[in-house]
Amino acid sequence: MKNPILRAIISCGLLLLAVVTVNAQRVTLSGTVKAAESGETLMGAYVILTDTGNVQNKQGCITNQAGFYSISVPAGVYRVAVNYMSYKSIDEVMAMHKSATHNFDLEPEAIAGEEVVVTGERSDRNIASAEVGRMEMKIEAIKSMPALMGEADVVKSVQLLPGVQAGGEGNSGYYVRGGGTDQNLILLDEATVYNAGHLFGFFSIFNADAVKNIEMIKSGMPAYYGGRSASILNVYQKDGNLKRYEVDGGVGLIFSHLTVQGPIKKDRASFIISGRRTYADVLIQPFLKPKSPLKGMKFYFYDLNAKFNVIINDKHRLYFGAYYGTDAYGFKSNSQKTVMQFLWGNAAASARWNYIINDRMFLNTSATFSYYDFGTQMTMDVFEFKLNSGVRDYALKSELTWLPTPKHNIRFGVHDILHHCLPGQYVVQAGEGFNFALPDVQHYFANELSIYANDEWDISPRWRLNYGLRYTHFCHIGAFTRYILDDRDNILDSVVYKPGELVSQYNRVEPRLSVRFLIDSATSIKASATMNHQFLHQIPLSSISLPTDVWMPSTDIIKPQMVLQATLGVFRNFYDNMFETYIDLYYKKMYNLAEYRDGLDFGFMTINPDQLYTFGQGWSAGAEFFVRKTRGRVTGFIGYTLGYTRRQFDALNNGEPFWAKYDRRHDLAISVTYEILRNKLSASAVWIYQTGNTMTIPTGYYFYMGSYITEYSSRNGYRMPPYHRLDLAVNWTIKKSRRFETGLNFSVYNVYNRKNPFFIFMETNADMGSEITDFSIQTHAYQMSLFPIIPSILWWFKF
Amino acid sequence: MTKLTINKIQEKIGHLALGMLVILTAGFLVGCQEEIDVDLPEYENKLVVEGTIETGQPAMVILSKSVSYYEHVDLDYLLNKVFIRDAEVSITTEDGQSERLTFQYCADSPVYFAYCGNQIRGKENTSYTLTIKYNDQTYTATTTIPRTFDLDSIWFSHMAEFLNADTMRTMRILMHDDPSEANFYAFKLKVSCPKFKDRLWNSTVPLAFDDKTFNGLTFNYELERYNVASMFMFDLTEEERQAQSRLTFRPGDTVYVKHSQMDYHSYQFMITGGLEATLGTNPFLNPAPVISNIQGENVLGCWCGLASKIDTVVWPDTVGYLNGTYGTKRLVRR
Repeated sequence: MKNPILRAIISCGLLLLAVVTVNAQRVTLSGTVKAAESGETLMGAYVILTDTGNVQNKQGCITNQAGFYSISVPAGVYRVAVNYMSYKSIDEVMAMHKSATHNFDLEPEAIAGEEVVVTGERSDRNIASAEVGRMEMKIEAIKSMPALMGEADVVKSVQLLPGVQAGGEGNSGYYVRGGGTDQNLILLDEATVYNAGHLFGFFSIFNADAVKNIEMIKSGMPAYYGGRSASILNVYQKDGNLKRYEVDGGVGLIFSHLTVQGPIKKDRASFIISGRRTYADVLIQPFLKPKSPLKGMKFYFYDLNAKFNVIINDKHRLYFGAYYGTDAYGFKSNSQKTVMQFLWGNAAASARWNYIINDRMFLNTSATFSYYDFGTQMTMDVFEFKLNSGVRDYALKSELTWLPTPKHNIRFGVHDILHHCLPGQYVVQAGEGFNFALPDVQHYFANELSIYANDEWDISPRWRLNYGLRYTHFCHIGAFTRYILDDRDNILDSVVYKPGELVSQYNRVEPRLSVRFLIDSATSIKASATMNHQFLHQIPLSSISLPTDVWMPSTDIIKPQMVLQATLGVFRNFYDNMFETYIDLYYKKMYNLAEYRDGLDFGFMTINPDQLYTFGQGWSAGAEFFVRKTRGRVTGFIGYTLGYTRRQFDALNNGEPFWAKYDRRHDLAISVTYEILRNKLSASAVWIYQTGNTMTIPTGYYFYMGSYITEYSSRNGYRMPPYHRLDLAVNWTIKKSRRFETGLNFSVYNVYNRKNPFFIFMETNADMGSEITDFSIQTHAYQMSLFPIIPSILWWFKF
Repeated sequence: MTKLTINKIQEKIGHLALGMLVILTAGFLVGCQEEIDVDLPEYENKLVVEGTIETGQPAMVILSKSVSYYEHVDLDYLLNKVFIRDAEVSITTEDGQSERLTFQYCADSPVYFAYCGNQIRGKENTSYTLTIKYNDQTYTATTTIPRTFDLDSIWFSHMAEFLNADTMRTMRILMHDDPSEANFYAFKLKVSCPKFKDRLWNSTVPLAFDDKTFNGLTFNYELERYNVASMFMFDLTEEERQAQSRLTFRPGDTVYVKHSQMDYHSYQFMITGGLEATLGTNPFLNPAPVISNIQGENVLGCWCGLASKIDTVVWPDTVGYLNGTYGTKRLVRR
């Protein structure tokens, strides 16, 4: 067998088979875990079987994203415990002499007036799991945190976690352990989301009312995830209440949201529809003068989530989910003759089929569609300029989960994505006789086919191994025209590829390994080593991540990014898992990173945009410290990251290494929630401190042609002042019963009115004076800050 | 005939970025701006060379030093610490002729003085080497003057409808690009009218452009008057300065249009320097280094050979309409 890749795959498969030993004496208990009041499947619930004859004989497993579990044990009598946060545990004795299917319906604890624990995991899961860099956040925990305008924000909450760095106000991106914004894969019910920000990143696109669960993976990425090299943010939408109709809503100062869900056929099919819209643009109109530039200005966003699920029978279940959101901003001149507008939007749709083949096999097959489009239009009388860019993905995925023994959880899968990227299409018209005949813009088509196998293997009670292999065949295909340039960027020739014709291709293998060693029931050591390849790239044109940034596939010029990461962490819980702590060290090496070349020539955008880039490498290293209190009236966490990240490009900064834009030496987040009156009144606070971003700053200037030209520091050679902010919130549940809930959320953003730097700019002014001797040149530096202290109130209800 | 105005597209993209900035900042009415002190990295002053030689003209070289960003610059500092008067400057032609330039008053210099030549004048398809000796250092650069070219048409063009087309217009040109070679163009304008007369050539935006996207095509191009030379206009009254700073044209204007070609290395400086001058202080863009063609340690600037011709247009001395609907057109004598 000469093909080393094929050999590696087959070897991995044989290894998986070799480690699996099926015990014929065993019986299997399988089924789904659901919320009793809504029928919603519960992902991440623990099912633990304890042998009544030998309490040392325990077996446990966690439900998957469909709420499915399967556990094999020797025949006998067992005590079965099912746990899930905020729900009453089930504890019952079952005689198991043959394999059986059993579904569990959990009753919520909160209604019963008991304590709500919002950690979202089994209390020692952080210790027991071999998933090194995986963190879950429950939507209830996110909703209890202070938020801008009172709107619970999934992405902003995740950015509080160690190793995840917010891009800052006005930046829709986030940065994980020194990676770029494009290295984060954001999934909504398995469909890729290309821009998770509304309003230039001030709010995320995820409507908290429609979200069921969130997980973030920043290291030790299992083989069933791919396509991005820094992190996975997996957002699951609610399935819809199978039992009864339910309405949730909130009315805030700048926008409101409403969610309706209920059964289409009780216990068989359900729906959920959720929407949000801002209305500041509508409310402000009556107060504007007729000639105000804000009159008629577009300034809004809205989004809509919908999901349907159908339980065909105990074996088969279908889900159909969709998201659509749009941002629109623009203005008109007084004369109405100058109009500028920006429109962008995401759409994501998924159809999933879950099939429980038998008590040890679960099949998840999905078809997804993702769409991101950015458009701008500028009209100045007869002159009209339009720019459109975007990306579309069409994907098919099928994954088989096989639980041959309680010691193995094996997942095989195949995933194919057809990417269609439109880096930028210009239409320019300037009245009769002045239409510009621009060359046809280049569309980029690519196919990304991956197969993978991953096994979580309990080698012994102390050792757990999570290992896998992912192989990807990526090809850039026509229709495409490649322009051949000389060293001065003049076009010498061109090569035309027909639709579907291969332009370039890459074969990449990604080994993944993470291991856990359990020192005792409260302490574990975890390590991981992973290789990730990334075939799509988004290179920010500006120093912040904007919706204008385009996505590009790997081509013959843009090589796939490769990231190697190694981590080592110690995890320890205290006081019966009341306190979770960890220290995690990481080191990353990044290859084939892309940046725009110096001296950008926009003319290339109409030729081959990938010829605008230059390539280099990066390193990052850091240590993350995390303490979380999970129970009691005071809950919360402290996360701190000490991080370093550098880049080196031969064609930038004279080839010298430089700090990355979001290199942050210190990143601290403290989040505290205090339950003043149980289930009635709680207060929460979040304090954030981040080392300032780096920037390239003017250091001098010189006179030329009677004007001046600025000279700059080395790339990112200056560090802006640090960013810090305190937010407070009070959540008051006015009424809470099984049928009706209502409450108010008061929040204050940036309590001590810190003027955090959004950007710094310099100005040079020549003062001519009344006499020639009065001539002088002054230079000034200014800092632009965005949000001062912002109080807000949100009324919410649920019935 | 394919018509392209690439500078317009680039300008609109610039407007797009600006619009994004406006929406990001002005749109959020709560945003605020404050002056801050910045602890800048240490700065080392560098020699700056601004040298040109044009067809039919002697060489002109201005030498200065770059200035630290927070340096207080007044007239005394400018004259004694910025501009250099005691260097040894000479040029040499490719056939071995050489001339030492003398420091003198120069009406064509933005700062009124320069090192000027007399005997050697620029010729098409000829290379010139500049040598500067200053503070025991030697700096050299070589530039080549390419060939001159002619315009097909120049005309005053209607601006958008919201402006008064009878009293305010821009200027457009129609020209054909030579498909057999890479061309690097620059346009400059001088206006003479009853209220003022430009002393210096004013650049257009961009300072230079190449024919990469319209090689071999006929294209029309809007010449936007960009008053870059205003910093040292000591001899103008405030009224004259305001009149002189206008970017458009009025009835009664006589406009001199200088159209030039340059070599690739001069173009590299003009395009990167021009980009820096117009976009460089945008805090959202990563600034690009300005590429100099001067050889030596700690030196900036350009030694630029220009193949230039000058045409003249007078408003309202115009005839005809282009396409019957848009602007007035004047054919230029070849």
